[in-house]
Amino acid sequence: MENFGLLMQGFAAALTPMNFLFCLLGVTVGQFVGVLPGLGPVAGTAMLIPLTYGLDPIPSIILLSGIFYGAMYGGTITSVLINVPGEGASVITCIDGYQMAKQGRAGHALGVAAIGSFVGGIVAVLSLTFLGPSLAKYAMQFGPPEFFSLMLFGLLLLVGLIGKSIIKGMIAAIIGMLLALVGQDPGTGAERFLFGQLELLGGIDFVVLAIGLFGLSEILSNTEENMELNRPEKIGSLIPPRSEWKASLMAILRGTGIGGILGLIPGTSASIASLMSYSLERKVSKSPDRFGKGAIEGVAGPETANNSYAGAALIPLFTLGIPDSPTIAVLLGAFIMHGLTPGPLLYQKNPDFIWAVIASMFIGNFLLLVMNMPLAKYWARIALIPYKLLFPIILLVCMVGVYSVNMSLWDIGLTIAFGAIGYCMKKWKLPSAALILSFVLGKKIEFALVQTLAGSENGILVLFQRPVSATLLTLCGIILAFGLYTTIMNKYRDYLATDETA
Amino acid sequence: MKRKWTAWVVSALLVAGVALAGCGQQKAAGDKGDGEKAVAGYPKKPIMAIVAFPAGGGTDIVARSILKTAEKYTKQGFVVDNKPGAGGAIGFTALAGAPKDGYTIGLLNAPTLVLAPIQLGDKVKYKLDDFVPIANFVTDPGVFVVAADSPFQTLKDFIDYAKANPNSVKLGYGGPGTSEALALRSLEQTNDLKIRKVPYEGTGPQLTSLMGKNIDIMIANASEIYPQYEAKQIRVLSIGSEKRIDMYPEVPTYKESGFDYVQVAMRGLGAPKGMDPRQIQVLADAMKKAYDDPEFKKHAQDLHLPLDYMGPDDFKKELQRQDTFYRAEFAKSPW
Amino acid sequence: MVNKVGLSGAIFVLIVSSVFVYSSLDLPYASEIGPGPGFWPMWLSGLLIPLSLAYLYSAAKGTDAAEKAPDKKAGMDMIFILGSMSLYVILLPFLGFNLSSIFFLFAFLRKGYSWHKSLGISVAVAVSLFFLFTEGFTTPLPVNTWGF
Repeated sequence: MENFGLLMQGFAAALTPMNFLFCLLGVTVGQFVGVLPGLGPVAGTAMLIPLTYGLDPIPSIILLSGIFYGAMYGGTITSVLINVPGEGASVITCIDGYQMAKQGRAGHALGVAAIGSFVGGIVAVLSLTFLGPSLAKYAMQFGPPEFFSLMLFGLLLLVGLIGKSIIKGMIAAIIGMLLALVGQDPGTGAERFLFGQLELLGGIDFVVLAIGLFGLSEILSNTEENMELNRPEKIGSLIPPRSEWKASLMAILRGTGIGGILGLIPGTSASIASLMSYSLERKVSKSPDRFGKGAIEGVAGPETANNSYAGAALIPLFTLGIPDSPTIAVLLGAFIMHGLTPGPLLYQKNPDFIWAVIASMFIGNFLLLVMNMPLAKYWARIALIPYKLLFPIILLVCMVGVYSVNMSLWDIGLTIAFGAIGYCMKKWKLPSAALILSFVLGKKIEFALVQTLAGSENGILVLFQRPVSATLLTLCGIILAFGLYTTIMNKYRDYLATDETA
Repeated sequence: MKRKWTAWVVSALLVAGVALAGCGQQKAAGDKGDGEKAVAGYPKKPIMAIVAFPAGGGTDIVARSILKTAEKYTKQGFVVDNKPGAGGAIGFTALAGAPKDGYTIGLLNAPTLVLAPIQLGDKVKYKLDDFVPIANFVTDPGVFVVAADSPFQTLKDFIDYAKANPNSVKLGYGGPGTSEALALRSLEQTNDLKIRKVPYEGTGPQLTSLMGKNIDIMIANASEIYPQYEAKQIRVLSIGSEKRIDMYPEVPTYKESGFDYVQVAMRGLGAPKGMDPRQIQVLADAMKKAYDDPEFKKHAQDLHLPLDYMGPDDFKKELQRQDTFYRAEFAKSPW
Repeated sequence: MVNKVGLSGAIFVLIVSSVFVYSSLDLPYASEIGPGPGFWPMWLSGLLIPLSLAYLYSAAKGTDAAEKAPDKKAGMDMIFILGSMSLYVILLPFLGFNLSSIFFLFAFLRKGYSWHKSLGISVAVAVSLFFLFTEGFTTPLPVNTWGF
């Protein structure tokens, strides 16, 4: 209960009118930054850090967390409305969110995402404030072998779930991982797969791939529908119909749990959390066929998981002083600028500060929800703008966004190429979501494997000698065997069927 | 309906633009070569400082703290321009090619600045000679670190154990090609050791692995592990500076521990070659005053920065010493 | 029946895997820390070869589930979109952001709107984007010799 009192003090410190205004400003600016393709929460927040140099620590952290949450939600808005994910974690949201928008349910998707983010963020921070510190110690024992197996497990689940054919899923996933290898090898620093282009030395940017494979390819596909979006007659309200309440609520609760647990483990990422949540939702659903066609759980779960991950990831930072994910590292930079070194002792030295930060996250989440209840309706109206006016503007904004990441014309060229490839992948039924998520995790998977092998006396066998890793890998084997079995059986049945008709 | 929406989109964009422009920092136009090389009254306008690492990183913090104090003495502001990427090469290249009118300077990180041209040759578009050192502020030594409950009490314990059990001690470091890798190479060669070296990206994940017992020992920069040291979660075995430093008074140097090697990371200020030497002197004087200012001292202490001032000449000598040393190492066997 | 779209996909994947296998061969398989820069790529691209052969097999047998190719009009539209974007990138460093963006938008909008409306929207969107990025985010965009 002592913590509760401290939390209340934190609220008192954070809830001055000035701070409230900063939070509001942050959320607003963040949302605009997040809506522009090319600037995700990490890049957006990092770019705006200098704005806070003149402020005191508490208002500046409040401003930054406002920007961060706003940008994350901005990414959700574009994922749902124009199929452009703002960052790795919202790739999953595109799958069902965009389908919902096409059916005229953009309002529901945005509404459930805002509610889920709010619940996920708050429950995660609250419960972990009390349980986190003791759990965080266990989480640290996760080493490179466990990360490798966990990420492999997550990807295989995805490949097994998206699309009909596990072979095509694996093809897409492997191509994604190979694309992630372009640039410099994280282990030795050697150059790889540059194909003579020095511009590729820094690797392919996520934004380039995401805008090409998702946004641009969607616009190309629309040419087949006479350049008309399946335009809804009306926007619909933000609150999903009553019949979907239970499903959404359960998805939100499960998402909170998954995100919270993964957030405690330093070295995981929000993408893994949303990926796992989507897989789980599909597994427990009574009608898994709806997924990929606008299932509300497919938006509610991952959006919640990704926010509850962000909340929970603060616990290792505060209790152990270890910033592991890039998003946390950005906030950390702001801490340091204000003369606060996060570490095991920050908690003892500046408890007022920590609780004010936690309180400001509540406020940020809350403001986002309150702002978006009316605002999401307006965002959703973007889908009502005549398509012939909207799509050239989307194309232009995407190109500027891509350019602004690295000031590189080469990146725009690459985006155009990935747009064409993404369109073909749709025709070929190669799942581009599997490609892009394995791209996001590709570098981490390889690096975890390199670290595992570098520190192992028994080579690859160590992956099977550690219990957590061995369990995950056994599950991988089962998924793979099962997937191959069904693929072959389906093919065989089709083969018999065609034989009979012939 | 149509027109209404056009107006809406446009006005939304405009509002966002104005809002952001309002709070955005205006960049100083620092590259007008207007010929009047008047040193009298220099600097007349804000000076741009290029930092080759992201905002909020170690180098950025050093830059912003010292420059903020230096404004008192130059009477002009400094604008920090972060140009991260390619391990610093992008920012260093930008500084090497910057206008020489005295209004663009930048942070120099050694040995990163020194190592890249040696290792990559022509692929890096700058040379050490392209820079004129102004002052060094921070010298951050390398440290060997173990978890608080580790059996290794001294660096010698670790060396003896690694010698007796080849290929069994797991050590976390920054990866091949870094100054840490070179220090380890020397340690292995002089003591005839075989260590399992596990690469890491950043000190955070390294510390997690150390405390989670996934590695036995790690090597990092002294300033980055101070919070964990202060909380007694880790033990520092040995430090890579010439002499012991105030932050870790009881920690012996590599030399004292029987490993004859100096491993330090430096963060100082430099200008592109060709800038007026009188302008450089003006800046060097201002930096010296800023360094001695209690405001900066206080800030540096809060941030656990191991301070170490060098003037233009000393800094230049140190950079050249490192260049010679690493070139000799590279000649022995490339990395 | 052979599915031509599916076949093209299988061949594309086969080419991609061969390119990556071929380039992986140049990379060292081992290094001083154990696995080298070629270790993981070799395994990945090696695994891709049998998978793409399986894909090729099913496409050749006609059991592949690919969609049919786009009709002529849609194909032309796509080429127009990709072509205008490519042209935009080529013109950007010469014409500067504002002029090229106005041309780009105008080319598309002219199809559905009167010319003065198209021009008005193009100018407004291009200029506001320019200021948003250059002033708001302090991100320089390419400009022409006259500075806009």
